[in-house]
Amino acid sequence: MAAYLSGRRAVVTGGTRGVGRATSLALAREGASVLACYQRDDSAAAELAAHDEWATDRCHAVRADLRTAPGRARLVAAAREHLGGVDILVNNLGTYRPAALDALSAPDLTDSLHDNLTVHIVVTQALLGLLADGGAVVNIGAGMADRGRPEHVAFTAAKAGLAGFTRSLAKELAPRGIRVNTVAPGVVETERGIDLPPPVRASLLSAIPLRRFVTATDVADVVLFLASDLAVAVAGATVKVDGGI
Amino acid sequence: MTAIDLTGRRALVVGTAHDAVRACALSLAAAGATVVAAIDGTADDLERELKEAGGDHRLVCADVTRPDGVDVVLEACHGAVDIVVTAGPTPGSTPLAELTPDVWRRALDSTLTAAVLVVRGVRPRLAAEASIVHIGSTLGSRGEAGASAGAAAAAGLVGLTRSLAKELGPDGVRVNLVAAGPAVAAEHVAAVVLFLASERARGASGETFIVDGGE
Repeated sequence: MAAYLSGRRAVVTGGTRGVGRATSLALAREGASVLACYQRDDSAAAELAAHDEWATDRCHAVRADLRTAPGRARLVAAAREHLGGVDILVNNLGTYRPAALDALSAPDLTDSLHDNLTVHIVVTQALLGLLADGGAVVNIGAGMADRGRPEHVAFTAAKAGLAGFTRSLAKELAPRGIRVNTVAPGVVETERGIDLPPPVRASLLSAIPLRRFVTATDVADVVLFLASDLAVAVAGATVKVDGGI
Repeated sequence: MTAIDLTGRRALVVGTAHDAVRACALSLAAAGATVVAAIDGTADDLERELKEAGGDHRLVCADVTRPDGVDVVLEACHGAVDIVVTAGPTPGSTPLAELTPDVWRRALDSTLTAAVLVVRGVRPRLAAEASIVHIGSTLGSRGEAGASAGAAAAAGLVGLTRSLAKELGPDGVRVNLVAAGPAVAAEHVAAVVLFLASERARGASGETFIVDGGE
């Protein structure tokens, strides 16, 4: 299978773990130059760099807290240094801390909205000058944003907000040929497996028509599709990858 | 450059939309699949192009809004089928006053009935992890003055796709819908179909992929 993203320059936020990690690796495998940004887990970054497809001449990781302006400046500087420009931006980072409404503290609410929505807007804003015409922005949303789920009020509100961000930015950047889309995964099995009690796991599984959990690599392949020329007419869309729920 | 490799896969592309059938059949063939294309009418250009593409492709003439037409298509398929693409017609415009029962029925038959009959007919022949892709229109969600029949049929494909995904999912069969915008080239629609037909889309089922350039 020929590499279809050869020569493309990609930034992946939250790029060393979970869906971000799988996306970074898939991009590397498909020939792209990759800059994976992570907040603090140096061991995950080291694990990523140990993969064969992580070609050190075109793949890099940068540690930066993108919730802060200095952290974003650090990412922009690293993107300029290692990539020179950005063809593909994958806004993936996020936090996941379920809480019932009556237990949701004000700081936790603010953090959840910021870390799952606002940060993607300000990171995109910071990288806008480096984003090349004809490029692609892919946001990672959540399938549950559409369906709703108890104890996920803040998380789903933020993830649902990505749909509006996606549609508006797609219209705003269309004149530059930049496409903006969102991938909304269902329950994802990552390199760390699925952290669910067996009964919950079984009941979730029976609700998935394909009878298997979507893997981080499954999601990454749809991200790559949206970043590729195959999706040249796809913009402003939110695409679920959830096994048919 | 495409990273979609469908070598050894057997694809069935049926429909009434000549442009969509042609674009999908040719791109699936270019990706290595063996294609049976079916269209209601003649398509000399497509027949020639499939021949030029090399491989054992076929073109049959059949009206898949009728069960006997589907039988004709299935006879042309040898063995199992990995990929099924259905493409209804580009919805026409008919003001309510001219929307006779016949016009209404034709609109639904050419889109919904054809899709159901094809999937029902091919179901026993579907290979493990087969992919079904219906091609419809964003008209179903947009709506348009004078296009109520086409819009109803397009919206119907959403429910059809979601239900078939749930029904066939346990057997590993994926079912997705591509909703094309009015200004999108058939080649760009076919590129998304190609992805959905491939194992790269293995996590996606029951989903509507809007291909409208973001309008």
